[in-house]
Amino acid sequence: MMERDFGSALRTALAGLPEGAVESLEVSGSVATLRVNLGSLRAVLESLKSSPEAACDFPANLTAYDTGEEMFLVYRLASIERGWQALVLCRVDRSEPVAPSVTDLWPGFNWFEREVYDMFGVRFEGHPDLRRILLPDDWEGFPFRKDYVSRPSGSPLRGPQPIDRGAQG
Amino acid sequence: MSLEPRTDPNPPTAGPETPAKGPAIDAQALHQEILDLGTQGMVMNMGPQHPSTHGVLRLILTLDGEEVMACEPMIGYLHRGLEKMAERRPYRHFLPFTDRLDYVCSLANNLACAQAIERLAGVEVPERAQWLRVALMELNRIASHLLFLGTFGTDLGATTMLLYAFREREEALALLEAITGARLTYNWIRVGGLPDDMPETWDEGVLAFCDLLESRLPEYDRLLTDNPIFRRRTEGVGVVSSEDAKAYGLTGPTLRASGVAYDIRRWAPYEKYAEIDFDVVVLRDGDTFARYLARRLELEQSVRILRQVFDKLPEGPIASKVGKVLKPPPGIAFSQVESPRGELSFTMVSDGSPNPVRVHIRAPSFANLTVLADLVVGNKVADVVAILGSIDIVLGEVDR
Amino acid sequence: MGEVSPDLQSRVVKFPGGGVLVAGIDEIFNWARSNSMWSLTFGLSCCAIEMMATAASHYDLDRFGILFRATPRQADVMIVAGWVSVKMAPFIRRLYEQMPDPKHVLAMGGCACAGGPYRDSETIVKGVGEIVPVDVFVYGCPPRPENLIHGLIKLQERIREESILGIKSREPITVGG
Repeated sequence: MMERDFGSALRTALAGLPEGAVESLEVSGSVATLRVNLGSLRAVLESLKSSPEAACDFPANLTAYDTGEEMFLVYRLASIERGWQALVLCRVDRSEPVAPSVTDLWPGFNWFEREVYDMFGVRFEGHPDLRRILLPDDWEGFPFRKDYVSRPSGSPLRGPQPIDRGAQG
Repeated sequence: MSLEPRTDPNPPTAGPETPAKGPAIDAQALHQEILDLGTQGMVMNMGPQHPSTHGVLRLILTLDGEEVMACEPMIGYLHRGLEKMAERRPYRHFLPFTDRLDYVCSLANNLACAQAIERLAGVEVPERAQWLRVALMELNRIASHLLFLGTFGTDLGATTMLLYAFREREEALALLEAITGARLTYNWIRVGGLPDDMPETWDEGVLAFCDLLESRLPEYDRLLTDNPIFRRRTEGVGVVSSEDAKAYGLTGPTLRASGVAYDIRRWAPYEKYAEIDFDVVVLRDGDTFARYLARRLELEQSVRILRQVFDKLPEGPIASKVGKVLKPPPGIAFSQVESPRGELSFTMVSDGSPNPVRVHIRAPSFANLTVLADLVVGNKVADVVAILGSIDIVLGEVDR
Repeated sequence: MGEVSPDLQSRVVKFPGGGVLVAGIDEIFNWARSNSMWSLTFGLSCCAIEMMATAASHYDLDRFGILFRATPRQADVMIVAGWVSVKMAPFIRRLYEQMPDPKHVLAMGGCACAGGPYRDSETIVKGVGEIVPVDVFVYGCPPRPENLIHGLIKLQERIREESILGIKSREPITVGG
């Protein structure tokens, strides 16, 4: 029941978008998984938020992952009134990752975007204050990328510390 | 104190012996001139070492006298790269690290991590384990809220509350130690269930603790809730409207104090919460007092849940069998747990190998802290401490 | 449990109208310093919660004369409770330098002692001993309040052997390892 309602609500919400914007849409229970392409990411998120049918206006989560070959952004938007949530996955260019910022839609995603920049190097265009948030400001490199190489700094007061590989469980 | 020039009933008469006076000073015009100058604001650093920042949080406040003009929170002083460390280990080896995220409520993190792995790998949890997980979560919620009551009182100067709250917290910790063996970082949830069953008379101990806590709640109310100084310092301070609360992604009692009924235990029930009768505490005011009261009232709801668990606890296995090497099928899965601070969610990405590709931890304190910068503007420095305390953050999960 | 204060009663020489206590300067100073160790509120993470529990009603550090001061200028002991990250390290060094002499450092928990479970993290300093000189290492994850009290009593014993000439023993004490 919920699946059918949610599926049709999503299709209504995304009806106005150009062909090929949403690469795939699957609904399982109360969670929908959408794969969208980068060019229409902003439009998809705006439609999900503003459409009265889908009403996915709660910014639950924003993160990214890197497999070594591809890098994806993962957004999770929830609709508190309807009781469903949408997981939106979007591939970004791994060598030069850029994405549109959604801080004007949801101020709650401000720090989430800064964290994705800090760890993956994704530049969010339109972000008011895109700089590192968790790592020290002078850190070089983006640690959660699979091609990140740690270079110990030699000083305990600054820079990357040596990793004790023998400690892995 | 008025700045209007006062008429002197006995003006000094100018005579040959009185010296000539200078031009009269218009006090009101001078005061207006000072106001028009405008001030740049004094930049004051609060933290990272500060008794009231609940850990290592740095706030750079720009002040106009006592009033805050701007606030910039800086975090990252506890960043360990836990999510990166998870990628170097098999899935289950990451569970002990999750204790140290929100270290005040370790079992919530354990549960969120185990649930994500269970959803990714398709592992079922037996009934008895699900009920006991609920009991552990609620006991931990009580311990966490007691810590909040104590530290929030201390932030505002009511240090007695700390001693009273910790007295009951020690009882709760003794119960948790009886079943898990540890006082703070329990690591007592496994993929598929629990490591071991509860000790023989543990349920009697928990029910006795529930009675004890209920008898002590009027004391807490006398100390804080009905305390006129506490009320004056928290009522009307730091009001968040429900639209703003949703736009900022707040969750937990911080959100529910602003009128939005979003509690994962009711919204997307996990374990056995769908079969338990309890109320979701929602308040309308959205101020610091409402955020405090939401947690104070949740103590009563947790006691209510604990009593129901032991009525309905079935016999049965305590964990389902999971193979030695856990290789979930490729895909992405997430878990959602209502921790005392809000929605705690683990998102895991698997590519079929024994180690995860990515583990992301959506910490409720990280999202809740984003509202601080805009909320304290216009308030006094003392209110900053009250507002920060009422948001109830734990920096271990903010920084990961 | 050990001596809480040396037996000074037996050294009081009684006179009519009062008494005179004769003791060495070191003994008096050390007695005063060891029984009023004021600690800097420096909880970083999980161990801080256990430190608070040790100071609170059940275990009570106040009976040892230990209370917590927010400013390093009024503190004798810095209990580093939690892991030390690279971003925090310069602040720890600065706080240590702001404390007046004689000062001591107690590293609480596996993380402050040696990096703890985060030895394969590049943002964690492997023990606060790399930044400040540590007097007592209290191991545990987190150490039980009894363990922390044990460490603090060992620190009290260390202080009682000090000299006001400023020569301190350099060998750190390990507890709970």
